[in-house]
Amino acid sequence: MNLPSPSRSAGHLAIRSLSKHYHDQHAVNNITLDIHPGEFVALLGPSGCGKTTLLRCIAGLVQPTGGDILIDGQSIAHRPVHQRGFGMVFQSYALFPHMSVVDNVAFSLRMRGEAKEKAREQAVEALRMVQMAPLAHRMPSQLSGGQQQRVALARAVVARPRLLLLDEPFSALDAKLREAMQLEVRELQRQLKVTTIFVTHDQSEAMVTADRIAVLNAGRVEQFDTPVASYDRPASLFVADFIGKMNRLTGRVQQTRNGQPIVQFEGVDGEASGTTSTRLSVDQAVMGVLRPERTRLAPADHSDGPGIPGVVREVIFVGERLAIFVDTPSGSLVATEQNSTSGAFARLQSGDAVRLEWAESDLLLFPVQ
Amino acid sequence: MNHFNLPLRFYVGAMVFFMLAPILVIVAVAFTPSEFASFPPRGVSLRWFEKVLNDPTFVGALWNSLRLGLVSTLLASVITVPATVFLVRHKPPGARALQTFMLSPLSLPTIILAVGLLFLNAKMGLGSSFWSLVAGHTVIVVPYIMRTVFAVYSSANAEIEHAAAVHGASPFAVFRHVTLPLLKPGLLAGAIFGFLMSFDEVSVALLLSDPKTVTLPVSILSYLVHNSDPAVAAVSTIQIAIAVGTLLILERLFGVRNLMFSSR
Repeated sequence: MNLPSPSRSAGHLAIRSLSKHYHDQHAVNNITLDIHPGEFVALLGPSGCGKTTLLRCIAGLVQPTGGDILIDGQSIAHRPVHQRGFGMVFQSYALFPHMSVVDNVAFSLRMRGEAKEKAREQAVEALRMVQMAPLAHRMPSQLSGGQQQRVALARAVVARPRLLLLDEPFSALDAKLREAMQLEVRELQRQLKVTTIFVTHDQSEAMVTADRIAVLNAGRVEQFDTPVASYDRPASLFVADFIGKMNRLTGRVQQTRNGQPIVQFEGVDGEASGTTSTRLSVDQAVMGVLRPERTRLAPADHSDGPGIPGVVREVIFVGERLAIFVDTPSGSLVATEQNSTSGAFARLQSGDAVRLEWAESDLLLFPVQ
Repeated sequence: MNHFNLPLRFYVGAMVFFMLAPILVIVAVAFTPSEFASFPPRGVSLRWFEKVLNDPTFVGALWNSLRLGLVSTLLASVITVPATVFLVRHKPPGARALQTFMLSPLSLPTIILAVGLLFLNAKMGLGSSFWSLVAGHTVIVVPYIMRTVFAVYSSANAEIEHAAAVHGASPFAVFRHVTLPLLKPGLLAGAIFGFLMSFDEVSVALLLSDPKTVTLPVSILSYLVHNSDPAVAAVSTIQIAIAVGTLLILERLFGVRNLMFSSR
């Protein structure tokens, strides 16, 4: 893509012990993050976790209570919002309703003192990248939601910002359009090599788009890692629950053998162990979590290592996979299996007795209070 | 809405009649050729319009009223717009009370305001009758502008202004390029209604004007004390025409209904 204005310097973002308190509430609580030039980072978390406040602190719309924000080594914590030179896409699109599409996109160029005609040329160029050039002379009210969001995207990148901020940009769109836009944004971001921060509460959206995901909970970062690592090796029970689905088993540490905790889980026959990153002491209450796709179905009389007996409640087709819900002494658990040609799992019926099993390395143990 | 039943039709017809009848009588009388106001008029003539437009008292009063209305409306806009923007976006403590205070002239009889201004003017006068009138009428116009600007602005998305700021607009540029255009419909509607209120106002004008600053309604009132010829009807018709004209422009440009009845 040849946007005429030259690309600016790298766009390395450093957030240092950043805090934002409202009265006695810590919306952002001592967050430190390093975001590399050209990286696409998702801030993921439930509503009220502080992700939007953090984004607004970076944008300059919210003044942090403490800490610092540096871009390419320069502190911007006290720089006024309009002098930060970022691009931003809002959940509500927030296009200027009294300006045509092309003037919306040309806005930041005009604010930098670019001549009207030149700014419009560049705006049309940016609109071309999001396939909106043919509608350049429409008014925003004449566009659909998806089209408005494309225009908002063009407006955010036209001045080649060092940082692109996306505040739940697709949550107002329907599912199909949302998926298409996620891929499109990802591609545009790769072409422009612009450092991007994407706020979302949708874990699958974060997985699809981001190079790294920062999972936020109650104003703190629980884990900052690649999507694969966050999924396979969640750092906390919160992350394990928030990213993907998890089966949960409650138990208590019986003893430790060679540093490995041996746990008695509710309803599980025999003692079991699992993988943990924290040191667990004897008598510690633990939660064992297990991905549905790592939960194996076995015949009821099968006995090879730890497992839990149960009765099939229902079998649900999810296209290429089957989700088998099983009632166990430890509650309802789910196992997903390939919908194979043999159809062995598809023949399961509710009421069938089965046994759920797993590999020791797939059961992740977290301490609970 | 197509099936109005008979009683409803009658009711609506009666309402329209009672609202329009006095105005229609005035307009009809203004075209009377005879010496005295009579209804229905016998024949059509423009002689009373000619008399009024050649009368320096009426013409002077008309100019005074237009000048007063324009200056008061402009001043009220300059005061009200920043105040409303601040009240809506920053919600300072007591915002609600402050807004009610700014709207209070609406529910206060203007004669009370006029008497108060008269005393105030005697104590610490502005020295000029015109500027005293402007002060009084500004107070009257403020609530009209506040109401419509408040309605339009509080329903506008604040993120639009944030978007402008993030994309390089200084606070003043945000106001000029985004905020002002956003609230323009409300400002224009309120300003035109406010102007009409000032143009029509008697109490304050009666007590604060001097022979040089007499306004049109005051001159009509004092003419009526000593005369009963159709000249008054002609001058009233001119005033009605100005009011209706501005309302038509307003309706054409923005739709009065949307603006006046979107309430606050």
